[in-house]
Amino acid sequence: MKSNRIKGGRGLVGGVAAAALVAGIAGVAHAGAISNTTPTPKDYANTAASNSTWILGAKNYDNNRYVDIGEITPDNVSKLKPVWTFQVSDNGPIEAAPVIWNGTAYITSAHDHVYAVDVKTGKLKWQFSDNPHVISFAANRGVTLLDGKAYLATLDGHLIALNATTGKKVFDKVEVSDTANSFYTMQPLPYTNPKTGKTVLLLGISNGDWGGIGTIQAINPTTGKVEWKYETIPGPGQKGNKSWSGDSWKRGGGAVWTMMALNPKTGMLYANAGNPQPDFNGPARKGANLYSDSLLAINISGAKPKMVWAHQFIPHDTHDWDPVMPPILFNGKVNGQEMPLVADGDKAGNFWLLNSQTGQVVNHLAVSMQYHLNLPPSLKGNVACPNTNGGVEYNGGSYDPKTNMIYLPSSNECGFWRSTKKVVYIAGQFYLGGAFPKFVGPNTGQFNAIDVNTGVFAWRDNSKLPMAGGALSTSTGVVFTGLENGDFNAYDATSGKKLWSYDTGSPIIAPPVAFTQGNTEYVAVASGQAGNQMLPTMPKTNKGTMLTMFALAK
Amino acid sequence: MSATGFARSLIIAGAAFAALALPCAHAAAPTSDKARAAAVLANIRSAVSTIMTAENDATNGPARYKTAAHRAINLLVGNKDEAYDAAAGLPGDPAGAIGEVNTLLDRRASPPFVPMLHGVLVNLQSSVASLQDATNARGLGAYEVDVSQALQTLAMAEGRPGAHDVFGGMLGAMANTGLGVPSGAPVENGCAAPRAPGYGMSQGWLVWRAVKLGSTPIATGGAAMVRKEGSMLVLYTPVAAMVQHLCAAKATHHAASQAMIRPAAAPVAKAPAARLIRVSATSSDGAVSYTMAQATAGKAVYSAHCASCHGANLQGVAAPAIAGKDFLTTATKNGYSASILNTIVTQNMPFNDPGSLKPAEYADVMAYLMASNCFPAGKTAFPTDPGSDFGTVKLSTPLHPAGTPDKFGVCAVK
Repeated sequence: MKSNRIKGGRGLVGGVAAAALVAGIAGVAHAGAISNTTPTPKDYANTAASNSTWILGAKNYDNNRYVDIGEITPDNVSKLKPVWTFQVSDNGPIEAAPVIWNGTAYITSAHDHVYAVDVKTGKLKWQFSDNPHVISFAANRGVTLLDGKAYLATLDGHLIALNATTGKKVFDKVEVSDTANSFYTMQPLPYTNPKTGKTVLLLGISNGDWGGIGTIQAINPTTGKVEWKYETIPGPGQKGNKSWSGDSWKRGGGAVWTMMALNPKTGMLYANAGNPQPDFNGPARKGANLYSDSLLAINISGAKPKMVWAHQFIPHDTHDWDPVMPPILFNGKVNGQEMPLVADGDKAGNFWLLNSQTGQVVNHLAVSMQYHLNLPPSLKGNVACPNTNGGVEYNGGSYDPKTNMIYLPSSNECGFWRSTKKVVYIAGQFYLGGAFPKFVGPNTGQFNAIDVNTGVFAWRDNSKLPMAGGALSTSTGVVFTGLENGDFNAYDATSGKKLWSYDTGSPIIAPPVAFTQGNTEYVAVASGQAGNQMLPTMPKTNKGTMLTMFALAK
Repeated sequence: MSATGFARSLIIAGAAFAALALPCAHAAAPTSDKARAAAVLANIRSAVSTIMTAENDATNGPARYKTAAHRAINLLVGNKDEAYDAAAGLPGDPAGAIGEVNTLLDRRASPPFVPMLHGVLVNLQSSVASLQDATNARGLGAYEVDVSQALQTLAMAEGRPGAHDVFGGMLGAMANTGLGVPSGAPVENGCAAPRAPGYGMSQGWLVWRAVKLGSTPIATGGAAMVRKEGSMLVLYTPVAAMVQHLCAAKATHHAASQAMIRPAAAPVAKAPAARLIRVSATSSDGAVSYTMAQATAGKAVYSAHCASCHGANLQGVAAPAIAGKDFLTTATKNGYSASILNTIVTQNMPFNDPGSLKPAEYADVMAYLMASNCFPAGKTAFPTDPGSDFGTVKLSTPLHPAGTPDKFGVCAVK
């Protein structure tokens, strides 16, 4: 792929021209019809090569959060200064990276508010404030820009399309079948089938602790119609159904709620299916409980989705230790040999490296403190680590192809777990068969650099608080991550030396982004409330929810 | 129906509606839904009688009690489960009550018996857990406590024909759904009036059973209403009123021409009106009670342990709203009662440290939530250990709020 490091950025003309060159007729049609308001399918296919945009939650379909920039280096990163901060009026945690396109940053907040902000000035262009009914944790992981619209999947199961220029609602449709227990937190993932040219938005439903079963939907972005859906828990007669006692599969969980990875050329979708439920009551669902706690490779290029392989990380999980890290697709060297790989992580504190074509385990590394992994919660209760918020969290990490390293925050938390004799489904409530664990002992974290070649740590940086802020790596050898004490840090990618730190004043549980706009390279991160990462040991003062935009002092 | 018509009809509750053919011991695995349902009931009843036989037996050692508990477990779990104890023998069918219930439920479709059978399943699983405790009990006293718990949940699994929700149990399922229809029996449209002896069904519900008069003795147990219609005795099930309501609504909607079971003037059971949470001095009859002193104390507990996620104004930050319009709309939609809310709060909250508050603090927080939702305070405190009758009235927006709701529908607590 040719470098897109055009000083001066991709203006209107540049964007159209580039799209037309590589996209052919389809690209021209898209670009011509709606100018440069929103990205075309070709722009999505080329996200990895563009350093002036950030349109998918983890940068690109590979989820590697790696950006090719030139200005910010280990030598000058200490000169990063805030250019502006944008205060978010919605009261809640931000877990998402902003979407950056054509000079605008689209910030989404906990309760499905969207703020379109000018990248250079931090001035608000428009704001959309949804008021969804919240079933549980309020979170939104970003809008998707397509066909002149900004698509927002909401906490009450709606897909809302906004005019990307004005923020006015174009359509609003309920897409889930059971609004009592199903909601969206995911950024819709656009997929254009190269054979048919048809685009769908892929959405997983967050219903995995509320008595639903894991579902991926493909939604027509024009009509809002669900074209197909794929369930992660097999029904009667399907392979894997026998891994559930009785009809426990019916409310078996396996929710797909974190970012998926995609190879847009082959149509291979990599989706994490969440924990089985009732979460803490194993006897109610005897068996391995396929395909909960699994990474699924699904071919979606045909008329119907088809599973190619699945790897279950934790059979019969009784601790809500699902894999939630956005899986990272890459070709990397393992023991000196180049391999097609997919990296994943779970809340039990395991880091996994699989062959992305076969699903075979290539490497497994514990990145958090683990204790009593095979002890199920009892009626009287017992201690096991990590806690349900521990291990590797929903923002995952970053892969740097230059260092062949994965940069991954992780948490050490222990819990006291209890199960119950009875477990009853109550619509709209947790379906747990026990209780979320109490904290036991100190809660800490670390930032891990994992050498893919050797399979062990290259370096680690310890933190007094858990870490869930994702990571960002740059071609210049700088790695960024945010901490729950509010610090935004930069490290040397190879040595792990801390190069820079800035206190945003509020806990960071959102991943950072970097991009070029005009002649300037920017780095941005959101901070605010800690949400379900909240701990008594966090700083007592909180400067509120905001996005801070950084650039080198000139 | 006229007043005299009503007087003529018999209101009967109690035993099962359908005549039950109980399978004998060591029966072959049942094949039809109906036979499976009967097998579940038989296994439950055998488990109860096994325990009671041991209870009523004069004995001088724990072995006999514990064997009875093991035998009861075997009846419930079948011979494939790890809880099965080969030494105690298999007195029932190989799948056990739980296996049969699982088979009945394990389908993509959701017939109307599903909620009832889920109730059965939960109670059976709970019974097994209690019986396993009983087999490990040290001393007769501890055994009795565990076995009492098991008998209580077994009784709930057996259920009652008058209920057709999760509390209906097996009897409710067999009295109100197709599970009560013998295989091969004539089935008619349950939305229409009976014309010939048989079973009236609609959307999986059993509406009525018509029997020719003057034949054999007729078992009427479990029927909500029995009427003589022409030359037939018609036994209406407890669910009949509700299903006829659905039939009528459907007929209106589709302008169907088929004859309805009753003319328009006939009393069709109204959907239960949303009831206010009533303040009661005795807190019986499903009502909720709390004192304003509790609510005030609960406000401080809430500020310390709940407000960071649910917000100072109870409208939610990272967690959902728990008072006012948004909350009560969902509570109504999902059928929450104060009792369910209490279970959620005491079992799952605070999210990061569930069960960490003292019982009195939980009661205070519940009182604060009741007051914030504008339900009136009374003289009796919100209990620290609510019984099964407490707070079963469904939550809904109070028609006469106690206090002045703000724009969110929340009443301020001082």
